Amino acid sequence: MKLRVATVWLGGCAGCHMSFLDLDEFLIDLADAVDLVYSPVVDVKEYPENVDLCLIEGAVCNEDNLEILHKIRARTKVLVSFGDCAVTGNVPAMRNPFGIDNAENVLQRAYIENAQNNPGVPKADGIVPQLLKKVVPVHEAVYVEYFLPGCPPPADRIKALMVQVLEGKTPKLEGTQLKFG
Amino acid sequence: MSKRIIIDPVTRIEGHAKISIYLDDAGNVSDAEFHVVEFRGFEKFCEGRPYSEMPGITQRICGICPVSHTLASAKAGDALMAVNIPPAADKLRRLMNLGQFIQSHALSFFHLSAPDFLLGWDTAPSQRNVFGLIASNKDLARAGIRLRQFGQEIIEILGDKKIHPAWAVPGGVRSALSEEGRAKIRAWLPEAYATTKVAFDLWEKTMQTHQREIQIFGNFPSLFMGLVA
Repeated sequence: MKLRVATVWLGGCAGCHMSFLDLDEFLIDLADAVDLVYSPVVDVKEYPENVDLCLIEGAVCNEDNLEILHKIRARTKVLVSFGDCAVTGNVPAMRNPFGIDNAENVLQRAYIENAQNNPGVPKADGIVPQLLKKVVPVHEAVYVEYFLPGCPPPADRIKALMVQVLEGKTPKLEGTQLKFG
Repeated sequence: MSKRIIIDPVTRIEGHAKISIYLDDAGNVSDAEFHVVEFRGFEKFCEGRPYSEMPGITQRICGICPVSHTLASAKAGDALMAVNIPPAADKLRRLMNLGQFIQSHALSFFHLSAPDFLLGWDTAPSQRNVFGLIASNKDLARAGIRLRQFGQEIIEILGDKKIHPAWAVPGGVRSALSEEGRAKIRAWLPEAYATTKVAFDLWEKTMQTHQREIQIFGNFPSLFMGLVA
């Protein structure tokens, strides 16, 4: 029985997913051992039930992030905060110091003050998600089993975690494998 | 009856998006919208910070094309200081940018688009991806993965990291290309060239079997002049 693995990107840059693709030819070995059941590189639209492991990239920035995160938690055995944005909030959280109105402030700057044509914050109810008042790391929204730091975590660090999971061990990272940045 | 079709999320693209397609009473497309759902606020939180931080912060806009952002920031820093960077630094920045072209184009073709063209649009959604490609044509998938790897290795050889290298700085770059690094890139070139030729040949064959789509997709009068045919 293959391990059912998912990867998800919340508010972030996709760099952690690119580092996952930097597993390079190990991806071919991985294809024999896991089914990638949901991912930005897979066309499945609904997060499935009974997922064994989910790597979550990015910080929790908007309502959509929060909604899918609760769905993921309910349908997944093991969650991994994948990369510094998921672990600490990192770059997306840099808007937090602008106070309680930070979401309005950053939108104002980008879409109104900087606009050369048609200033106005895009609104499409039910489609474009509202920004949260405060960006938070994944474990502040749901319980997370493991943390994989790095900006992004280099491929050998991802491989170290995946190999331990595939061997049925409790993944343990130490020393240089625990570096931020 | 008019209807709205929502594609959420848009997958196998470089970014976060949704699409709305509106159908009129006759079932024809009356309008379509592409929604970008990712927003972080770089426009605001970069303000007032030291310019030397910008190549490091702005490349976090995108982990797929971080090199473009870090180089743009470094160049803005050059302009702020009104310096001409050393010719060697200019060439090294160009080399890293070429590494980025290679990895991003290999990603776009082999990892993201190829499942549509090589497996077919009607393949089950769960299989229509790079892992489906590995299952159906392991050698081709391996060649594509290694072509992307070649681009990423060029970036790493220069900047110590494949993604978000702390390397380009206002005024130039932090380090030179080592002899071993140069030898490694040269040794890999023939394989990368061969894979690129395979990709072009595959694309040409795909174009021949998709004549109907070519006539429909993106074929409209505009004020832009194309330089390729």
